[in-house]
Parts: sequence; C-alpha cells; structure tokens
Amino acid sequence: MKLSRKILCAALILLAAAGTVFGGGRQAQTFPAKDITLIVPWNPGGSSDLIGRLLAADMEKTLGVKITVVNTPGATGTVGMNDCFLKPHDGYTLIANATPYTHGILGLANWKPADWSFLGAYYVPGIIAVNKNSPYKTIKQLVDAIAANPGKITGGTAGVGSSGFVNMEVLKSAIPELKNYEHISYSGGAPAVTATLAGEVVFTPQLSNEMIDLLRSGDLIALATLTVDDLKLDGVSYTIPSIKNAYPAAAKILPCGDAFGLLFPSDVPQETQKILESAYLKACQTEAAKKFAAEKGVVLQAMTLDESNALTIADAKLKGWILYDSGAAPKPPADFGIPRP
Amino acid sequence: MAEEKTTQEPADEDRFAGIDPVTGAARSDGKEHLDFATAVLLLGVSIFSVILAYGYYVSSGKVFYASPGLMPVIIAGGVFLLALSLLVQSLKGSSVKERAGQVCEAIPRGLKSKRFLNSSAALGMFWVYIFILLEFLPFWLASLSLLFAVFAYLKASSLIKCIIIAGCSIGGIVLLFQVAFRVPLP
Amino acid sequence: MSALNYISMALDVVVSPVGVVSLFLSVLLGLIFGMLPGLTATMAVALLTGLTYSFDGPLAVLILIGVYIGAISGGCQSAVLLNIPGTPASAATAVEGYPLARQGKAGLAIFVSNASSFSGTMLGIVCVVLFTPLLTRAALKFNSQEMFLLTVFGIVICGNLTSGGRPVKGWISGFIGLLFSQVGLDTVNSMARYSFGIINLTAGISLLPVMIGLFGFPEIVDAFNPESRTIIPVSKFRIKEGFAVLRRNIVNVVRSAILGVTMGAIPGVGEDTGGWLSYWAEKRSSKKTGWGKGEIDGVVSSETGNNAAVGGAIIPVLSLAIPGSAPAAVLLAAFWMHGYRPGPLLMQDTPEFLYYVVVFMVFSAFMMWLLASNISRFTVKILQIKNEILMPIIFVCCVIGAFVVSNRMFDVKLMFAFGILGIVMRQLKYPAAPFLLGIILGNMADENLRRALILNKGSIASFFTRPISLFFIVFILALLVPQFPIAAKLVKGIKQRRRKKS
Repeated sequence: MKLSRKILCAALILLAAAGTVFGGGRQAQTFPAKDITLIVPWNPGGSSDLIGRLLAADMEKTLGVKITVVNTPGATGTVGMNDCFLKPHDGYTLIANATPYTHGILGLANWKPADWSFLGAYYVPGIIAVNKNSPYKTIKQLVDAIAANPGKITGGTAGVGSSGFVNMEVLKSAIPELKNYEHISYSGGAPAVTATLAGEVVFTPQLSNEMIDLLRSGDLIALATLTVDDLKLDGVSYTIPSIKNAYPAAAKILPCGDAFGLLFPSDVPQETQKILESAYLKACQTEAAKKFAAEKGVVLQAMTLDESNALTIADAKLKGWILYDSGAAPKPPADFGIPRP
Repeated sequence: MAEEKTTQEPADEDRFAGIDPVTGAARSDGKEHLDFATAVLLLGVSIFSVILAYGYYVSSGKVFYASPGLMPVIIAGGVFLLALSLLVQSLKGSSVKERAGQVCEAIPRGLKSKRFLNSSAALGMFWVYIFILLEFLPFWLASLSLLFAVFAYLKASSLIKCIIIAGCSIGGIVLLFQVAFRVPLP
Repeated sequence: MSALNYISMALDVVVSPVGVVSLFLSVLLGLIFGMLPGLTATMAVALLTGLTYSFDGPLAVLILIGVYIGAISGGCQSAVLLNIPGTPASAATAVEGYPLARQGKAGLAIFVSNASSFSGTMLGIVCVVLFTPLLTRAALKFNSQEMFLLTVFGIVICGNLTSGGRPVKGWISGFIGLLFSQVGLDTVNSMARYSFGIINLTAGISLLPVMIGLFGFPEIVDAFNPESRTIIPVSKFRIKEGFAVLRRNIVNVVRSAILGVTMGAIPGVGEDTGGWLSYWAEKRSSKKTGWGKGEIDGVVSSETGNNAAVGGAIIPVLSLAIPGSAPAAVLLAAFWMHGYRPGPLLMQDTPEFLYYVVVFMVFSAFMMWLLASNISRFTVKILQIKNEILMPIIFVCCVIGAFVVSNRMFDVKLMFAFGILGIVMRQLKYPAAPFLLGIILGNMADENLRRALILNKGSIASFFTRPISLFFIVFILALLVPQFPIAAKLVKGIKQRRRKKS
C-alpha cells in the first residue's frame, strides 16, 4: 500500500502543477478573449430572458465568442445581479434586466443605480387592461369606480417593486382617485394577467408583452396605455388611448413602463464598454430584433450607453422618490446618490 | 427464470420496522429516546419560528392575515402540535427523567460508533471538496482529487483502475457539460 | 388546410432522416439526464433550448419535446436502482421500486416503469387532443382559494406516504418542509423572512439542492459504511410477467393518468405532484399489504402519473401560454424564441403547431419506450458495480446538478447542509418525501391563502361558497378525520351499536 500511496501523491502533485500551468496566467488580450456569461436574474420565458437571449444570439456573431445564458432567479432579480457584481468587473459577465433603480430603495441590495451601466434595447409600456366581461369600458369608468368604492376594486400586479406596481404608484401621484384601488400581488406578470382573465381581479396594469396575445384575441380589453401617444399594436384591432387623453394631469409622469436590455457594472473598462455597446447596437438592427418588437408589442429603441444611463437616473429620480414618499419603498433614493428632483 | 438469491440484511428490516405486521399498530422499536430528543428540539424550533414570525407581522405593519407572518405562524404552530404528539408518544411507558438519561447515554455511544465515524469521514471529504477545493481549483482538478481521495479511503479498487475510472468519468463529465453544452461548471 | 394536412406536415419532419436521428439523440439525452441524480428535466430542456436556438422551428420543437419526455421517464431508473430519484418526479417510484430492486426484481420494476411511462404519456396526449378547451376552462376556475386547498390536500396525504412507521413522522417531515419553504422573500410583500441577512437566502431554498441532499446523501454516505450493503444478483424476468402486471393495473393506470394530467394542467403543480398523487391514490384504494416493501402497483401508478402530467402541463401552454410545470415553462420560452405563439391565438395564427406537438409527443413516447427498454439492460448492471466506485461519481454529478440549476455555488452548499439533514432523518426514520412536498407546496400555500384573505378582507366565507373549494374542504376532512384515533373509535362505536340493533 505504501508504494501505491506514494504514486498517488505524486500523481496529485503532477495534476496540481498541470492545473496551475493551464488554469492561470493567460495574458489579457483584446476584449473579448474568452466566452461571456449572460445572467438572466429571472426564470426563463420572461421579458428579460427573451430579450437577453435575442441580443446574445447576434452579439455572439459580432464578438466572435460564445455567450452562455444562465438563469439565476430570486429576490426580484437581486440574486442574479449580485452574482454578477461579485464577479470581476471585466465585462465577461453581463445581466439581462430592466432599469436597475428599485433594488436599493426596497432594501434588497446596497448598490446604487449609478453602479450599473445600462443598454436599453426595448421599451415596454404599461397598459391598463380589464377582462372582456368587465362592466368598465373606458378608463374613466374604471377610475370613477375605484374612487367610489375604496378598497373594493382590485388590481393584480407582479408584486411590490414590479413594473405594474410602480406604474400604479406613479399614476397615483397624478390621478389621486387611484389611491383607493386594492393592490393584489402575484408571483409574476403572467399570473397577474391570468388572474385578470379568470376574473379574480378587476384590472391589471402590467406590461404590454405580458398581455399582448390576450389583447389580440379579445379576451382582455386595454383601457389605456401609459405612453405619451396613443398606441397601435400589431394585431390589436383598436388603438389604445393614452391615459393622458382622459387625464391630462398624467402627462407629466408619462411614459410609464420599463426599458429592458443589458447591464454590467459601471466600472468595467471604458473600451470594453464601447465594444459591448457597438455589438449590442448591431444586434438591435437585425430583422429578428424588429420582428420581436412587432410580435411582442414592445418598442425597439436601441438606446446607447449614455441614453440608457440617463434614463436610469431619470427613472430613479421620478419613480424612486414617488415609491419612497408613498411608503412602498423603505429607503430614500438619496441614500443611493439620487437627490430629489 | 433464474434462481432468486435474496439476502435480506438488517438494513432492510430497519427501513420497514415500526409496524407490527399482525395488528398494524406502531410498535416500540427501542429508539424512543431519540424521538424524545427530536420532539424537544422541534418544540424549540417551532417556538423560535413563531417568535420570528410575529416579528415579521409587526414590522410589516399590515393586518395579521395579510402579513408575511401568517403562514409561518400556522406552520410553526403545526410543528409545535406535532412535536407535542411525538413527545407524548415517546414518553409512553417511561418518564422525562428516564428518557433524558437515555439520551445522555446514547450520545457518546453514537459518537464512537463506526457508522458515525465513517459518515463523518465522508462528509468531511465532501466538505473540503465543496468549500475549499472547488473555490480555488479548476473543476476537473478538484473533482479528480476528490475521487482519488475517496477511492483511496474506501480501498475501492486497484490503483490503476482507480486512476482510469476517475479520469474517464471526470473526462466524460467535462466533455459533456463544458464542451458539448457550454455550461459553466462549479 | 385541414387537420390531415397538418398531421402530414408534422410526419414529414419526424420521419425524415434528420428528424429520426434528432429524436433518437434527444430522447436518449433526456433519459440520461433523467437518470442522473441532480440533472432534471427542466435543466435538460433548458440546455437544449440554448443549443437549438438557431435550429429550424419544427425540428427544435421535436428535440425539446423528445428530451422532455425522455427526462421525465428516465428518472425511474436511478430511483429503482439507487434509491436516488433522477428527477423529483420519480421520487414516488423510489419508494416501491428500490425495495423491488433489493429483492432482485430490478428488471421487472424498470420494465414496468417504462411501460407505465409510455402509457401515461399516451393517455396524456389523448387528453391534450380531446380535453384542451375543457381543461383550460377548468384551470382558470382554480383561483387562490382552490390553489390553497390543493396545497393543504397535498400536505394531508403526507401522513400516508411513510413506508411504515408512524404517520406523525410523515407530517412532521412535511411541516418542516413547509417551514423551510418560507425562507426568503415572500411573494405578497417582498419582505425577507428567515434569511438572517444572507442575500442568497433571500432567494429562498430551491427544490433541487434539497432533493439531492435528502435523497442522495444518505445513499452516497452509505457507501462509506460497507457492512450495510451486499450485492444482490438480478433475477431475469419474463416480459409476459411485466405485461401481466400492467393488465392487472388498468384501473390504476387510467386513474393515475387522469390525476397526472390534472396536476400537470394546473399551473404551479406539475410532474412531481402528479407522481405522488397517483401513488397515494393507488395505495389508498389497494387492499394489498406489501406497500413500502416493494409493491409493483405503486411503481405503475407513480410512473403513469408523472408522465401523464407532461401532457397535462402542455395543455395550458398551448391554450393560454401559461406553463403547467417547470419544464413546461422552459418549453414555452423555447416556443416563443422560435416565433411560435401558443395561447388563445394558436388555432388562428399557427394552427399547425398543435398537430406538430401532438405528433411529436406520440413519436417521442415510442422512441422513449424503445430506448429505455434497451438501455435498462445496461443500467441494471449498475447494481453490480461496487458502491464504493459508483457513489463518489454520483456525488460529483449531484454537485454539478445542484450548481447548474441557478448557476450558484450557494446551492451546492445548501445541498450539503440538507444532505446532513437527510442522513439524520434517515437514521431517525423520517421520510424524505413529505419534506419535498412541503418545499414544493409551501410558497404556493402562503401566497394563495393570503391572497384569498386579502381579496375577501379576512373572511374565510369564500372558501365555503365556491363549489370547487367546498368540495376540497369536504374531501380533506374526509381524509383527515379517520386519521385521528378518537374519531376512529367513535366511528367504530357507532358501527358496533348499529350491528347490535340489527
């Protein structure tokens, strides 16, 4: 046994040596020199996931390396983003998500919105929709009903911090009658939309792509859209009126929705950021990207780094403070570098 | 049909013990003191959970039925009742003092048992693999090391065979995952 | 275009050389993934979705359906041979299948498993074709109250899932599982519970590390205790015997299929619950006494149930674009990626899609049976490999499996922790299965109960006024009451008095 043990040890040492020789010490070359990982901090099939995969598929060709997509869901996106933050900030780990301003104020993470660089590919508007059997045929009827029946008219969203919830909070600041709606949480956009379809809740203010097919089939009726202009979606027979038509006061807080795209820590080297940006912009020009917009009822915006980062700060200022003032968010945006507007 | 050679070793009976095959009633298996210890532990866990849950209810500021504390309280309450039932069952035919004494006796006995030592060795090696090796070494190296160590400990096979088996399996795994699927490995 | 045209289009894809090879490879891969503990159906579908991203639509769908069915069916092999379920869906098969293997009947058990998987899949397909609109409407009627009662029902049956021993241990196991499921952000308020400041815990405790830890570690560590295992030679069996088992169990198969399809169709529950519910149903209605010691009927029920759930899970995917289970969710994402639009517009926009899915499922089922039967000749030999060699390799697979789920080392560490718990539980004779059910059902129970109460301002009257709810409550009480000795004595007393009178 002694001899074989010695051989075993020798083998292990050889392996260790081999490991260090092959494992480490590759010199830094032009980005990208190795495969990139794209973390989607949500379950597969959601908006972030689909958009992330779409962009990755084309960016692979431009950058010449493989982009591996992994799903790391949890804590409304915090876990996946945290994973990325903990890895080296070298541009080899990316995130597919929406504008990152809620995590800090909701007490989920310590980073600031400025800690992330954003590339906003698609803009997804919020839409207020009801079941086709609903007695409310216009947005004014719904709002009047909410005002007249405090706490009785239920609206389903994907939970505190979700787009739908934030949309409603922001709307409340411009249309005070909405304060009386009863918020019902679901574990995602799809269940919230399904619940509206099933009649468990009266309306839902979720994102357009989550309800687009139901709008097309007529099972759900869109009463208003949270964009500046009226919205014409592919396949929906009617034009969805902007909410400012009925409530001009809402114009100052429109558009209400989310921008989806790619994220990475803002202290990734500038040249790497530029390389990623140009590959991303190319990916946004493809036929597949445009088809996606039409099919899913979203708007292809292909914002640059600067535009996207500006949007993040603007959103954080407007929506972050509204969330804090209404009590939905426990921490003030000022703690994260966002002063009052 | 070939002959059926079944050797039922004690481990199998262990798995299925507890019910008297004739009357169907639960029969004593000489391990009540363990149930006693578990029941006490569970009572503690449930009380701790309820206290934390109450804290969640208070800090959420919502009505109780809407608060995050509702379900944990219900569940922890259930655990409490079940643990009580277990406690009562374990005290049948005995007393608290006696059971407690049995537990105290059993602990050093258990710690010296071969089973415990073997299991601890296994868990120890796994712990080193997960918490230390995988953090610092590339996957294939860490896994090969683990397999070597385990095979050596278990005296699984001749040295050459060990190397071959370990090498082939790790090689196959790496091939399948990293090359074919491009899935990041730990 | 008529239905026949669509079917022939689908056949064109399958019967082509590329199609046959792809189907063969994907089902084979699925079986392997299903067999290896730690690698699940969800993962298999997800990996292949990435791989087939640039493939032609119909071909990609064929591959994904093939791997899905293969993976759900493959779990039975490791469940029977190693007592470690390859996927959570096969956890119920291990309860009866493993004792059968230790009696030398592994060949029979696996043959019956494969045949049951095949039957379950086919019956599931029948339901997809016939009942999609009906089941969709029914699934929509399942609101928060019904979902909550469904989870209660799931917990109640835990008492019966113990293989010998006292029901109270089963329930304790289930409730502790429920308690652990509460760790993390709650779905209604997003408040962190029981996470003690650790970010990774705020995401909650995922199912797979728990399953691998609870089921896998005791087996793996057993390899370190050489006295506890002897090699049992596998006896050959006649295929006739296998078919005879199935013929005996026709009622079982049909019932399990119905339960499986239903569980699959309800969003949020899936193949795992389908397998368990079918197993429990058969156990309750069976008059045999060998349950827990290798009752082949149990294998039939659980494998039929979990495969039927595949068809069930695809139903809401097609009709509402809502996944019925976790692998179905990835399948749905893949459909979207390839430009298909399942949902209410399916029959309008891309009607051929339904026929593609049905035809592909049928062929996958046949391919699965073919491959599984042939593979099992080799896998049964696994029993002959020394545990000392096999288990460490399985351990490495488990580590990979735990990691790949969400790409976190934390899950691997979690698996280790639950592994220790699993070993302790095994020593103290607490069944692991209810724990698993607790983790699966806990969050669903919490979310739905609170939502039902919030919607009704704290009143529980709605639970009694909704018809499906009421049915559940009555059914649950009917199950619970006989479990308590007081009630049983009462019933006995009443029966005795009646006998005296007559």
